[in-house]
Amino acid sequence: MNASFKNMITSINGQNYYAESVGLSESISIEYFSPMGTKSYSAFPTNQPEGSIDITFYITTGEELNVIESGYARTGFSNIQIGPFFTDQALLSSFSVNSDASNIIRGSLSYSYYGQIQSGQVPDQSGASIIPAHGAASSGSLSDFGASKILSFDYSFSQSFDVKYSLGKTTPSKISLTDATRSLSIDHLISDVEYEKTNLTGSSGLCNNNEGEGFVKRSGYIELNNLCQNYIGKLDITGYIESRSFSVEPGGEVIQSLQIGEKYVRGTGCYE
Amino acid sequence: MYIHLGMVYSRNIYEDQQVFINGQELKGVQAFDGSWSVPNNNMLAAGYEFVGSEIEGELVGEVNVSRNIVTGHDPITGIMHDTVSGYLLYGPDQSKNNSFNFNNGYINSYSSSCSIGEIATCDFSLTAYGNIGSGIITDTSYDEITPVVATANSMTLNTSFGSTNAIQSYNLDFSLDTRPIYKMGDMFVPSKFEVSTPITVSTSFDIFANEYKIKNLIDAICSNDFIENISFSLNQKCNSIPIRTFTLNNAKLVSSSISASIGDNLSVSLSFENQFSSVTGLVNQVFS
Repeated sequence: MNASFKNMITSINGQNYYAESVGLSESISIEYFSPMGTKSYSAFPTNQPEGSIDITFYITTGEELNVIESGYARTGFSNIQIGPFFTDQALLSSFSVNSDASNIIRGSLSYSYYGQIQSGQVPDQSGASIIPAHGAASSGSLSDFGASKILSFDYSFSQSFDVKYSLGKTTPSKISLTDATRSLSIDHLISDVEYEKTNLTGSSGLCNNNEGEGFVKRSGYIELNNLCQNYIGKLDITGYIESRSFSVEPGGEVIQSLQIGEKYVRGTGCYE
Repeated sequence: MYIHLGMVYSRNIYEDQQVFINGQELKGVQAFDGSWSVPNNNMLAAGYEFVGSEIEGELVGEVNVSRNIVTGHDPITGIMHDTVSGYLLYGPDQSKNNSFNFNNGYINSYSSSCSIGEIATCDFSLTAYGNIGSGIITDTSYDEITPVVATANSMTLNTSFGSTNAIQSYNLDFSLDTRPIYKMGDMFVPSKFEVSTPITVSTSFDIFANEYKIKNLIDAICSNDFIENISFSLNQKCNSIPIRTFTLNNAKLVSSSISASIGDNLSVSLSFENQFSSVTGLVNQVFS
């Protein structure tokens, strides 16, 4: 096999991604066995190989986001192809996007896959020209959280599964979603925030003061656009303000950071 | 025999150029350097290689201006705390129909120096965070002035060491670390600027030493021996009218060096620093 960066075209469920970097790793659990009275040992694989795929990519279309979000809290496997390597038994582990006002917006993906990675023909190099989402053209619609303008954001989704094998089978026989969370961290100038809306609780302990303040579920999103002001997609969040912090440096205004958390519950179930 | 001269290109020489800042023409300009660059990031994607380039970073321009001090008025000192705009006006044969404009700029450094045999200089640079390049020309007027030059021998220096030692040169400079605040969605236009503090003004003198006594480094500990009030005025040549005055109260001596060699005068270099918490505080004291 002769493959290099130009051959490693990346696709998930048929959707191509413009990957800035890709990484695959896999391993197998081995049981080493040495019986008493011998100087030799044996080794047995105790499970199927398992691996992980990490992809950092330029976000260029909403379809790229849709394909990833279709794996949120879902136990169905995804197909991933990276150059000559492919697997049809991958589960989304995490997805994150972060940016500030000066940089291209990139997404980071992590998938877990079950069974050894397969390989085929090395694809030829393709040609493309992209205009990725950019922080200078993207913004947050986060008024529920008190924020009008933001300096930066960090969106992440992560989930974990309980993958069970059964006797007589070489592939996973039962997959259960154990946990899925989505979070959004935002930084903004204190002058750009409706401060009371960022209170963790009302004035009387855990009670709320007014509607939309204190411990109450709220929604917002980050809208992703490219520098040509074309709409690309949204990153949604519906959750609670879990924490806030304040920082300042000499000569500067106070910067407030909000951490919003969401327990993601869509599509729980199992895959047989 | 025929000689074909063809087309002759005109050029812009210094007499065709003027520098305006915040609506005022700067006098004594010796050099102007303006530049901008686009911080493009070449994007590579697996399976495609090069897929285009996109801006990552700040869209800013830089302007550097070198000046001789030729008037008693410096418009720069009054605009250090706020945004500035201006342009270099040019065009062949004083047509003044082209310009290099800079907008939404902040002065980021200022310096003044003079040594024996020179005319005092006063340079500055700025970073422009708005549009930079071509732009609107609002004023092309030229006011004739009679330059008043501050030469080295027409200065008044108030220091603890100047009365018995021959001061050869001074250098005063400071930098303003202005941080633009970019908000998402604002398309590279900063919405706010913050200045890092403290702002340090550095002043240094080279002297031919006569009676000067080098201070002992260990005396810098918990002592006022290294602190003194310094001021120096650049006066009009041949009279005592000051055209520029620098005042540095409570200047702290931060370094000292001595140099001696066969045939040369024993020379001493002294460097002082002052710290300020705001641009306004600096301007009010140093240029008072």
